[in-house]
Amino acid sequence: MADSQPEDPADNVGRLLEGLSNEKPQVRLQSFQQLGQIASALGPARTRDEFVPYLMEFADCEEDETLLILAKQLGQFVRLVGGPDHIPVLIPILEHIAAEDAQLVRDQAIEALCQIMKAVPSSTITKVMFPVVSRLARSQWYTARQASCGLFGQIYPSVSAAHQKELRGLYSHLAADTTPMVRRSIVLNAGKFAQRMQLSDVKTHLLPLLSQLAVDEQDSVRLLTVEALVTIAKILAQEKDNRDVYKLLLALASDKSWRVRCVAADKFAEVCAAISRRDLESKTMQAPVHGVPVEDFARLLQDSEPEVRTSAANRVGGLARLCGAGLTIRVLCPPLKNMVLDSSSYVRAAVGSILMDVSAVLERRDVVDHMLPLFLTLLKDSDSDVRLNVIGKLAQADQVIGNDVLTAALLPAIVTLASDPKWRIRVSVIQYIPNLAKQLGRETFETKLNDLSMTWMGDHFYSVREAAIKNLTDITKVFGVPWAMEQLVPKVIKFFGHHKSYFYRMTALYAVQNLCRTVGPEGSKQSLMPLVLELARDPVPNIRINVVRTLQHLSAVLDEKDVKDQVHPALDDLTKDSDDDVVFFAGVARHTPPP
Amino acid sequence: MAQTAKQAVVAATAAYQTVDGWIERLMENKQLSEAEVQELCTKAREVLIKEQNVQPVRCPVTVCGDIHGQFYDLMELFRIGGKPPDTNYLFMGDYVDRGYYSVATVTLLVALKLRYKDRIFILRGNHESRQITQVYGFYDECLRLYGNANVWKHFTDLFDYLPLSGLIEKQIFCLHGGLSPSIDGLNHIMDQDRVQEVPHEGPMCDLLWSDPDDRCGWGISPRGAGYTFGQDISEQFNHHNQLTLIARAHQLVMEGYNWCHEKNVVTIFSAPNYCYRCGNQAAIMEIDEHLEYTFLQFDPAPRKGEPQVTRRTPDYFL
Amino acid sequence: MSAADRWLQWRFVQSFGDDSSGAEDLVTTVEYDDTGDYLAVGDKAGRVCIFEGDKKRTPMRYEFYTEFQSHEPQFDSLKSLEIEEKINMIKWAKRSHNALFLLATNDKTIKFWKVHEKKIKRPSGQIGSNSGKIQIPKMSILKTETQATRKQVYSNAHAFHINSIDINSDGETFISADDLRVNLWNLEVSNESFNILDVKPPNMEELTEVITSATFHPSDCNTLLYSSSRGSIRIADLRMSALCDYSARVFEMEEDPASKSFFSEIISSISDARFTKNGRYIISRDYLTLKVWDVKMESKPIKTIAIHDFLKMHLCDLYENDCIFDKFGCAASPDGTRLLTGSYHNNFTVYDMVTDSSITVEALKEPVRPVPGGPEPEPPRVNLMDFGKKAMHLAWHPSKNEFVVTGLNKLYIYTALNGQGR
Repeated sequence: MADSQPEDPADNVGRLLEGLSNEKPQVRLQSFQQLGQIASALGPARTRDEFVPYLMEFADCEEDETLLILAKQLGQFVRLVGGPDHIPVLIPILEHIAAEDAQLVRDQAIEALCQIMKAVPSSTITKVMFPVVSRLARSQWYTARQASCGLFGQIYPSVSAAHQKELRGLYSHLAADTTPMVRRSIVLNAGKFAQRMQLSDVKTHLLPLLSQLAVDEQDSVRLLTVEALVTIAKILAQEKDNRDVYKLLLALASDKSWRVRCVAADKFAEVCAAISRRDLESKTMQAPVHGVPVEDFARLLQDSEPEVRTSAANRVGGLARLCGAGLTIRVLCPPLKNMVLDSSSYVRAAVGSILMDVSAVLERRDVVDHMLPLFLTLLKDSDSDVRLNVIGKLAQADQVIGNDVLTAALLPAIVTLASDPKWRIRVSVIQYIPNLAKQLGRETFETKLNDLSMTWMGDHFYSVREAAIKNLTDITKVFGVPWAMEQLVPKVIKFFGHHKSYFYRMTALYAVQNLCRTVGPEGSKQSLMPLVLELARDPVPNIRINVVRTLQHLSAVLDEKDVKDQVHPALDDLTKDSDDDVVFFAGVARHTPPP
Repeated sequence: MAQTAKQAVVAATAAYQTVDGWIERLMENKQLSEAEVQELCTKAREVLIKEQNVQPVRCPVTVCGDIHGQFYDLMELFRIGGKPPDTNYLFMGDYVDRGYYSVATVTLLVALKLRYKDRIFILRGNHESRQITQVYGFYDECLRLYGNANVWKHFTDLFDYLPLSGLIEKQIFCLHGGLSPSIDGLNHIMDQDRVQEVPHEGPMCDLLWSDPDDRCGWGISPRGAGYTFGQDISEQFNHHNQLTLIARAHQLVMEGYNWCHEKNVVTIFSAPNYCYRCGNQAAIMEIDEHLEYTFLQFDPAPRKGEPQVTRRTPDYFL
Repeated sequence: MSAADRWLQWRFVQSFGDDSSGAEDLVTTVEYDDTGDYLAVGDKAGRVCIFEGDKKRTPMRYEFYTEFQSHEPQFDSLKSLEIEEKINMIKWAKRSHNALFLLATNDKTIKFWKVHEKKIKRPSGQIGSNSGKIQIPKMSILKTETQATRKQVYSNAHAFHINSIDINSDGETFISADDLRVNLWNLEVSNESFNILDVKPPNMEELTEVITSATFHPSDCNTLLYSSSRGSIRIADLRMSALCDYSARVFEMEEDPASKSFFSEIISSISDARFTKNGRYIISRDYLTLKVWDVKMESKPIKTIAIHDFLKMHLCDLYENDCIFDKFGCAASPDGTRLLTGSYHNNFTVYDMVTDSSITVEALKEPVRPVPGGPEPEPPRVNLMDFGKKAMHLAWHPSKNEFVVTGLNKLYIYTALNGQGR
């Protein structure tokens, strides 16, 4: 490129301009990505007078993909049209795109409008944007009305009280729209709107509006009100009386439709956390009207629909944190006890993943009494996903249960799971072993688990062997290098290094690769190196490939002299191997620096 | 001396760098460009052209059956059997069609073959054919992913060079389908001109299409190509050629592997829950350096992103 | 009221299609959009044809608007099956200011189409840079084309043939039903569907009943209606449970053991069932009758209307020539007082709930009208009936007393005199 003429920037812009109406969609899309560059070259005046009107021509004939980019680009046009004073020129085109039929495109146009408005003085918002919202909201097409909902929050703080009143009226009007899509859009944007309102208006206008939508005939509208309620509850958190918010939550949690209850269960703790912090502090947790919230939540744990029970189970930890140990034991534990025997495996899997969160709230003794039996039941569940979920929480378990109890109770279960037919379960158990080793202490580990670890290293499934080998370092860190040299390394060499089947010899090499750093230069030289050198003459080429790899690992650990005296000659021999791959890897290892 | 050895290493490393890069991407199911596929196929052809119709294979090796574009299950297979070059593999055909990821599957396997020609062997299956792939999905997928049929053409041209069978340590005969009435010795297979589209009939067609059967002798295949062959035929063939076993793929077996003809023939099928609905296990046969074999069975990999019908409420309803 | 009086209330408006296209019936489904301004017709060749109402004329007449190929013959490589391109059903989605949207399905694959007027514009004059000065071109409209753009394809979700699709009143979800399962989809998500109903027994040999049609309540988003091959209708409440396998109200009539015959199960299979617009009634069609059910009463229909009772004597012949398996549709007027269904020989029947009377006539360009005051027409003579002409697909305008009947490649549109129809 050095010898070509520097390109005239005008030519480049000219090409981009041409690209906007290119036949190939790909070229068009790329050109639309560069609208800013064209506008910069044209300068603000020409951008306003010629370029934006030109772009307007595309707004009613382009594909969704192009409009998406166009809207996004226009959101960054404020400076390019000459600053905030000139933004009115951008409004008509974005207003047009905001009424498109593709949701993504509309959303992007609304986002662009919101972005533009951030740069604009209030007076302009009233003059320019208020009419836009008003027009969109009153359009005969639901797409435009739907789009308008996203703008209310953005302009609301900037307009006069009279205009605010009108906006609130329009919003209420749209909340009663005959098209469910519009009502959904109202609910979806209610949180955003609420954040920009005075507290009193949230209470007097939005909350009643939400109550109205919470009994909408469409499930899809009602279920969205839950999310809005979370935001509004947080806004109203400082209010003295949150009865209405809680009443609304409760109504949604006992909705006729399982979908609504499902979402209510999911957000229940979040809403309660917002409105009852003060109550919690005063240790009452008494909600003003309907008794104790935690009891209402417990009902969701016993819902007739498995999806609701699952959703509630996933959030039970949050509720337990809110209500403390006493209520958890009294109100939440009884349903959980039933749920470990639930007919739906999804429910059981959910319970399996939250038992430890609940335990974290309880006294250790109560954990042993109330949670441990559930934990053990689920470890033996018939569904492998359930078992997997519980095993995934094992590491958390010893923090809350205490290792002595855990060991006694858990060890038999672990031994059973060690030979689970599902290999992913074996891997999960293996991953927990170093942690367990820490708890058990050396003696117990040696009697109960050492052999198991060796069994895993000889598993038929590669990933299980791999997981077992990865553990060696961690276990060595727990019991120390001397222990490893005495207990581990001899076994690896004896049972694996000299095994008749190459799978095992391979495993021995993987183990050496894993252990050598921990064992250090002396241990590696004394105990590991001899095996590796022996295997360099193994009849199976795959072993020799791995010998090369192992020697690379050892090079990084051994003294320089030993590398020179032992590793290099071995690699040199292997570069003359009969197998091409061995030769290649040995050559690479010999002539490139160690990893 | 050391200097020249080093230069040789640098050169060899450079040569493998491209392929290693491809393999790394392909393992993550990231597709190669059309030009890269073309380069891959051209280079792979140079490797395959040197292989024989009955390609000798050394043990240890792990023998696998049909994959059929089930890319994520092929990844599961590697998780279970180990990755190349640590484990050697012999795949017995049918890499493409049916499943959602034919292109990813066949590209990866061909790239592995190119990188480790002595560690990976890929035989031809009846789906490695221009005609079949136009009906059963590979062609359509190429068109969808690349916008034209060039990639399909590169691969199907390459398929013509795939060996018809493999022979492990002169004892275990591996091929996709089964035996042919026009062939009684391995030397007959060696005589075939294999570089062509799979014919509609004749010995080459039979090797890729035939199935073992409970009935004795030769029978008409319900597939409309190849034959069915009985235990007498298998016994005779193994005896005549001093074989201990015929390992083949081609048929769905619920346990992933299935013995027949009094252990003269074994069928291996490595696509779990075939076509995403058959509910079968998959299996691979690990053969160690003493020719002792172990079957490893596995289930479908936990998956995401594939079209699915669920009995669990999808997120978008909540 | 005589037949002539009843007939005179209905006026033939127009017809589409020609008589010369042979004996094969190509039309497979017909559907008005929710404004009644558009009428979509699906056919055996996988095409969707849209007619547009010309409001300037009274009565409103439809004109050809556009036609596009929705489905092509296909091969299912996962199941080794040929899939016909035949359109089984079309359902309109809510339109936007410049586009129409519809779902069309064949046996296996549902597609979501956007039909719109696309402006083709080209810049004219100097484009790009001219000696360092950037020129912005003028844009001019080259032409306007009606385009059908495929927005979504929902595939690989049905093991059996799809018989119905329906869009929910929430505007964001739809169902698709095959012989044994009903799936719930989100219009925006094509790679995952939720199987809410599964009637497949663990062992297929125990199969006694298949789903023949499924539809949503017109306004109540939770209510799903599906009919079966054994003559029952079920209403499931989607609020009750995520899976609807076990919870449904069953509408079925106790079988009269006396009338049981080899054919009774075949002829009791429901070919079409739907709610009336206000949701208070269900109309269902089986081989010989049209039934009206009150949604509050499961035990028996409030009305059973014999459509071609004289065929009862000929079931053997109809079995022989497969006609007994024909699936006739039904429709109701927006106010729910009039019902429409079809028969052979291109006959269709309009039943008036208020006067409890019906009229059956042959769909013809210029139908033969009974003479006022003349004698009641004779029941049709079976041996003179044309069993190749089947008025199976019909639809009622969503807001007016106007309906469309299809018969042997033609559409016939009828409207009420003075817009009253009574």
